[in-house]
Amino acid sequence: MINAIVINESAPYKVIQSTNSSVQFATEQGTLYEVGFVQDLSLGIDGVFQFFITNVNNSVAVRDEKIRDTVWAVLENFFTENEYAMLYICDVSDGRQTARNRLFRMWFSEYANHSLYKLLTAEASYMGEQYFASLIIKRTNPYYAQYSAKFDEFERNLKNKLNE
Amino acid sequence: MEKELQLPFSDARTFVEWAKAALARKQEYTDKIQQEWNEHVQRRQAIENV
Repeated sequence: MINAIVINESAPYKVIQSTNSSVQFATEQGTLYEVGFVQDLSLGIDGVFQFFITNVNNSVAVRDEKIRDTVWAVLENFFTENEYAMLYICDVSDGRQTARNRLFRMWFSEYANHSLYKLLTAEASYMGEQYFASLIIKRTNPYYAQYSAKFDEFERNLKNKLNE
Repeated sequence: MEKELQLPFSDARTFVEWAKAALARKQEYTDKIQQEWNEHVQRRQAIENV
């Protein structure tokens, strides 16, 4: 699924293989992260994986461009080694999902090869809870057209309901 | 041949329900990572205390 040896060719923080689908790395500030993917069948096919990044030793997280660049190296390897799509739903446990979503979209737009991929997004609020979801899919993925159309349709339907 | 896909959500309510469930599945997975790390730290401390 992902390969630490290949990732380390470009990652500023050196990663070690944790499982077939995840790696760990430590930052200069001493934070230990595990980054990886867990299969999610809810979107109808085998080839969708939820991206996760977890602060394993619960130390204070500091924004650091090397983290971003290391995560990019992991994501690049995920898409290069596999024909999978990546699902990211912003964590809501601390109420900072809007900021998280903004950061994720910014990271995607800054990624040098982002034109090879499409970022499909969906967001909605219900009963005071707001959620953001993103699906990153290669334009060559056989399900690209369907997912693109379905996400667009969902967004249109939500807008139409709001305007009723 | 690709199969016909349907998203598991069609409105705000079902989207929020789907997102919650997906996050819960991910949380279960990352909780295990956290637990393994905590056990590793405990084992290391036990060795250091010998």
